[in-house]
Amino acid sequence: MNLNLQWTWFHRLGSPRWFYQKTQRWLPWLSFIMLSLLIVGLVWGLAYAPPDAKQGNSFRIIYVHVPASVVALAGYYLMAIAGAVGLIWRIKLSYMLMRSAAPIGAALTFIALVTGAIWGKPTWGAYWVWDARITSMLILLFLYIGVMALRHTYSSHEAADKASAILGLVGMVNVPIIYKSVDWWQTLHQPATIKFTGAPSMHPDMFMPLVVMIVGFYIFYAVSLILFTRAEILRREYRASWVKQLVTDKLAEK
Amino acid sequence: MYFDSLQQLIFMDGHGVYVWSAFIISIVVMVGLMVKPLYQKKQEFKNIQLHIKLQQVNQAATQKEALDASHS
Repeated sequence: MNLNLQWTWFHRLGSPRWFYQKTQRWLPWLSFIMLSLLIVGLVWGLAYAPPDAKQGNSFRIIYVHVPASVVALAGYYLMAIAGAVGLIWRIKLSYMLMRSAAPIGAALTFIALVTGAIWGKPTWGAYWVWDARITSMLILLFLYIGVMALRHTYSSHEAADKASAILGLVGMVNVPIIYKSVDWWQTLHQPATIKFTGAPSMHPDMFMPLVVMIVGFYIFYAVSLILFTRAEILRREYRASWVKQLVTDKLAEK
Repeated sequence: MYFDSLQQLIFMDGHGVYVWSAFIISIVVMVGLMVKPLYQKKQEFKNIQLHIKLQQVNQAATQKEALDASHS
């Protein structure tokens, strides 16, 4: 009995209908928190934080560069794990999450690379250097694009999902390499600002807005993932009676 | 505010071009990540509406055929 209770949440989580209906209620709250955090973090980081002693005001790019990179990396784990769950338990929703996570991760990696390049110009004197951190991030972008592209190479959803999940899992090797690249190789890229162990290498006046931005980016990721997944659910479940009901109800409202 | 004036905030001691372009590009991409799924959802709704209508038309046609067959 107790065991049953513990597992019902797992099966409900796997239900596209449950996800669609629940997230409908979550979205307004999440969007509100997301906007508040991002606006506060943006204004704080751009206008109120003190400039860096060595880099001057160009360091303010950190407030989009680091959050985008952090979430792009965490998002890769999420995508790969969702793919693995799909492979092991054949849960439809987890494949939908994997599909939805790919374009978001790709876009965030793109932001990390572009803002890094822009930051590189005043700091290193070059937009692009083939440094270990930057090159491994570029590989991350290609992995995300690969997972996106595999969708169109198979005629059946299932085969495409499996292939994407396997590519995602294999590509996971790259993530710890990215994390450690600044320690393992002599790189131009500066070492990590935030460490899991030990204090951050930043003054609290600069660090606090960064924390706000990182949390804001995580919630942004959640909102975007929910939106993409809801569209994906409609695309794949168009034959389900609850989806038809949803559409007819919407039509009746107009 | 750290800056004395709005002009200084925009100029940022010569780093303004870099900082602002980085932020603007990021914001544009992030807005895209919100707008694209919403647009996709709208398209899916339209597709499903069409699917339902086609089903109804098909059903009506088969019913009519059956009715015609039973009369003749």
